[in-house]
Amino acid sequence: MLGVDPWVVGAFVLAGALALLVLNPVLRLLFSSVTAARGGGWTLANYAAAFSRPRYVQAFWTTMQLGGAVTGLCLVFGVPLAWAVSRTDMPGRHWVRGLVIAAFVMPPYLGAVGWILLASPNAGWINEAFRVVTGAAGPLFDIYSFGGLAFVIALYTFPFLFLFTANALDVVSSEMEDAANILGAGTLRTAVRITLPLVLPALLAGGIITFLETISLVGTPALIALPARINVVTTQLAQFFSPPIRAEVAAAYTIPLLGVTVGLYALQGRLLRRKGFVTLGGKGGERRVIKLGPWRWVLAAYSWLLVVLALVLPCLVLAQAAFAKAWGRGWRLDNLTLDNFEYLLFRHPGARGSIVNSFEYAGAAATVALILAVAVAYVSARRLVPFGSVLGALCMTPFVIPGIVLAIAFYAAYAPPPFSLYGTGAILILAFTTRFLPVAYSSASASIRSINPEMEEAVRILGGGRALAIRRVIAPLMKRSLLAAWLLVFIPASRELSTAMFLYGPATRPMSVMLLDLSEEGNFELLAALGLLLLVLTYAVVGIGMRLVGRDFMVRRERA
Amino acid sequence: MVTRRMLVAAGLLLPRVVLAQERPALEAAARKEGGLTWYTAHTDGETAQLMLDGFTRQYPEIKGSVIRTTAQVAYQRLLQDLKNGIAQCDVFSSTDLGHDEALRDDGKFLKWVPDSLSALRADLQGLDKGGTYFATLAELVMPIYNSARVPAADAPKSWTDLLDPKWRNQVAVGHPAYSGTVGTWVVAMKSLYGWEYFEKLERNKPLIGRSVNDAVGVLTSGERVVAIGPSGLTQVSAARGNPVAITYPSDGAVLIVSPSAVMANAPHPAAARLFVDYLLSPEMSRIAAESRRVPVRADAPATVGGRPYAEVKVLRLSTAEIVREMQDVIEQWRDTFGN
Repeated sequence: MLGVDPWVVGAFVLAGALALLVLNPVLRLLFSSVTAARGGGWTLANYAAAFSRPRYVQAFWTTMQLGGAVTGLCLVFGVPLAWAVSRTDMPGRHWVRGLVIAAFVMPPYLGAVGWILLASPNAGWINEAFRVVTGAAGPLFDIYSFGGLAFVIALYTFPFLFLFTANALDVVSSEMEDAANILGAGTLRTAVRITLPLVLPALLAGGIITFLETISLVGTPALIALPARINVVTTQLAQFFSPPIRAEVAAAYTIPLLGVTVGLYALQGRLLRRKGFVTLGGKGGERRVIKLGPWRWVLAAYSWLLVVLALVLPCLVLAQAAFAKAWGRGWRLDNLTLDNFEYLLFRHPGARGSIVNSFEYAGAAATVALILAVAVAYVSARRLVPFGSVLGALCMTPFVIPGIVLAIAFYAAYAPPPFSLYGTGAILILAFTTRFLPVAYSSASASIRSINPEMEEAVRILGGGRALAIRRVIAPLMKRSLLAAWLLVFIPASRELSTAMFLYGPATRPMSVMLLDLSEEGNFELLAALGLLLLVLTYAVVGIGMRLVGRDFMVRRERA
Repeated sequence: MVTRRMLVAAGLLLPRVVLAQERPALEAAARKEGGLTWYTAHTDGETAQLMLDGFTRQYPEIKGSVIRTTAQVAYQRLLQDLKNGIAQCDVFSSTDLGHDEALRDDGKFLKWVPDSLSALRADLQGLDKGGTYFATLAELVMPIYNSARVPAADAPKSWTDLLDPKWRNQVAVGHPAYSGTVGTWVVAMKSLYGWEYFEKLERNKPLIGRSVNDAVGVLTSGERVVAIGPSGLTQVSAARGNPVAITYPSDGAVLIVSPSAVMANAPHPAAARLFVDYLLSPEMSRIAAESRRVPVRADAPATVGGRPYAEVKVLRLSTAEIVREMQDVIEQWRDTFGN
């Protein structure tokens, strides 16, 4: 027998891969931020330059406010819905759950385009209708404002909080609520004082994700903040990347974002310290549906209002624009055309290629992320090496890195020699892999931990090796949950913009960047048509996924 | 005996004649290369494709691809390519002459003489003293308006008319940090009226897009009714039945001279030269006129909205002025408009 366990060798290979994907970019980012652009010596000048103008500081501050405002809105949108869907007898609650997930799948920049068509101050449908009905001169709601920006972002970010909260509420048993009821508390009081505090960890985690996603957005700010004359971190970073390119200053500008993230998680730790949140008892407490009486209709109306705002209205106007010669002329027969699709699919030089790129990179990233995640999860769950938990922690690290920071970090690490990956598909695939590795890892790890080792042990007692056990026992057992995890990476990767923004090259432009390029010219008809294509293709993938792994694959993955 | 070399030395035989003899060889080489990548900010994407199609019709073996963005975005991508040692772009067509000056000084452009160079209109000859980039298209920036909402009589007659408070919340404009055309217009307004022009414009709360072409869509949708717009795309859109129209400003439409250059590291050097020569050809002038741009050849009739180009009052900035002012006005713009 050889002296070296092949599993230890494999674990070291995994560690190397994770170091390249996670550690190296972040270290390069830090290094780049303190390196002089000319000469390459140590300097703090990049930090001085990054915050040298009031405008730059203002952008940072505005972004923090935006993150806060969006998180607040998402709590108002997502938490009541999650409670209603998970705990009450609200009519149509299964539909609401499905439709919130549909809103989740919708790329935020596409929602932004829809809302520009809906709420532009002069030509937006809602404002036109408002003027006709009330005779007022001004608009009802101006999308080109801080409030408009926060609202649109929240409409497509609240599903995070919704899913986190609903998943947590799904496993809370009714005992404590019963106790509160017996002691005289009403339904609302019980929900606010008992039920929600029980899921505080989920609320905090969902809130932090909401905040991080918001400050990383590139597309919505380009479409709405720029005309609204609001400067945010991502538009400011784009400025540092415009000539003269100051990648080092951009690196320095993103480091405080990492600081904010660390601060948020520290705060989370403080809030959760020394409190018990054990809601899952071994006896499997009873879960009863809460009867709301007439209030169930109020909640239903609220839910459907959100679904209409996030999904129905934007899709309607996008469809109208996609089939229109000029969207401002409305639904008229002489305004209908298929030219936009024909142009995109057959005459446009980049559109078709970008569709292929997006799906190719997303597919590759999902596959690589899943292979890594399963391998690490297995090695660490079966304690094959002593440093398994370190590998797991590395897999989860990208979770706390805002997408835009990851993009700048990848640019710093892999664009220049010796890697020289700028403009290749590989850099995009690797960046997407890293960005969504935590999603893959948490799924894979949950799935492996749910498999009792005794089945593998049985194989080994009967003389089979570990490889055989994996092939014949583990793999078949995990098949469904792995496919679900693959989809959970594939869907966000296929529309990812903030990471792609600084890493794509002329031949590797994905659909998300293509949409942003089209938006430069303000040609909303083409933009809407390409967006509609993206939506149809994505929903097709989700549909196939639901056929294969069941319709709840995006919801209750933790318990799978 | 008089040799050809002596004739060239005596300036009697123009280099283009020499090149003309080499043309079959150039075409063969370009066909063999089989590809061409064009970074352009000259027109909207649809028109750029139309122009490229005219070229690939002549050379079907060459697979052309166009990447249309605003000038500053195109420049940023090109610089990023160069910084990372990627040779992707063959022909670079900006609308900010400063880009061409900087890239030439950096040795990034090929120095050569296109066959058709002498066919250029006199005022567009000798744009680059270094002989690397050439005017291949021209366009005017003009006040434009939504003709369904604004009667022609009320439309702005000059650039200062756009400052009238009656246009509050009704003006659209592109962004100089993205569009070279808008940037050039900003430099022109600053030199005419000083920066106060923009402080007053700010009071009208313009809707700020990125490309100069953005304004046309914004007017068509009715979101805004007057704008700083491109003469070409506005007329094309009007010809399609959209309610947009140009006006001739009494203080001068701003001329945008749009240059093209072959990259020194072009992956398809022969195709690139052939393509720039095509941009100077009668066929391209025909396409330019059809797309309501101002053709650059002396033998192509140039009109703007039915008016002979020569009769339109035009404001033209020197390259030196654009180079000197562009970065400054972008900063000033950001300070005034906050984006």
